[in-house]
Amino acid sequence: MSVSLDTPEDIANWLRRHFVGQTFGCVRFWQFALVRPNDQFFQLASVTLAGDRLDLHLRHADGQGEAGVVSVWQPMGLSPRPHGVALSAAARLSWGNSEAWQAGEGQYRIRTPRGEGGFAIEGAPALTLEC
Amino acid sequence: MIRHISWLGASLLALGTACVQADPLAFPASLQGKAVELAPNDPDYARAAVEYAVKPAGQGGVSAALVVKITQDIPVYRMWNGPGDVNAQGNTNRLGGWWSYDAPHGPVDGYRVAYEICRDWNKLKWVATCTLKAGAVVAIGPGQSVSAQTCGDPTGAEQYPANPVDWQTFVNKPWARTSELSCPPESADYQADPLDIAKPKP
Repeated sequence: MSVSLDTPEDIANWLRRHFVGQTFGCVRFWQFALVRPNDQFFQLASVTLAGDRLDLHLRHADGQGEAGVVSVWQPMGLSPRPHGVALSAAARLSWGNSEAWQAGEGQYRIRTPRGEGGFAIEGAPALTLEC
Repeated sequence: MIRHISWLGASLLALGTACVQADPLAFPASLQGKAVELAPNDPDYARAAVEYAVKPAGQGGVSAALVVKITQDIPVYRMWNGPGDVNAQGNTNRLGGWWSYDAPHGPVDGYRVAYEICRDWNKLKWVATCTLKAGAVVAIGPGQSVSAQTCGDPTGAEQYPANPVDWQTFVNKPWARTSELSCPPESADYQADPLDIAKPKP
């Protein structure tokens, strides 16, 4: 189910109302899993906006403090999922020293400490936070 | 025998259009007498959070799962980055969702392949041995494949096939289950010899 949220402000407000405090163990930029699925768990602590950039402030679900900020530029298409939430599109995303961005029709690129490369989107949402 | 519903679908995905004989999971011999399988209508079944463990082909986790209740204390093992690898808050990855009931052995590269662990997910430097207590309810199953996209390897080289042999143990949210998973102080862990992770590094 996609929620009709067209602006970063609407998405931020929905996340604040419905997803802050929810626990998730999967963080994916398109199909890139930034952590081993459901090994470590996180919660959305707060949401801030800076222009068209959505900043999702994470904390460790085990109470061990902050877990960094997932930034999403030009987020679109929020979809609640049974165990999380997804954004269908974004121009760019980052978390720590990893980032990803849309690169032409049906493609995205990632940059990590290991290097840069591109993959096919194959229908994957730009951001997935779920268990 | 009760199986998680994702098993057949995941197997079909993994094997493409090949004709598939959907063999049911067999209860592992090494857990005979130490655990019992739970049916989905068992009141304890949900504690395993099996839906978090079973993933589609290419996404890691396990390809199918049994939910078991431990009937006598057993050791479980986990490789982690080590006490010197802390984040900005001083946290380590010593505790996590994925464990094995078979003791780590052999070269670390083989362990990484056997348990489908991308290099960016875990450095596999140290071994922690904890105790899964009698009464614990966990999901166990054969490891699912992990694609290069999932690993985020720009070269496309790092990917892992599904492994029906070395089963994984999923302990959902272990920090909240201290009555089920008991760990000694970190000083009991050892830095593994990368050539044989059963032994401490010389």
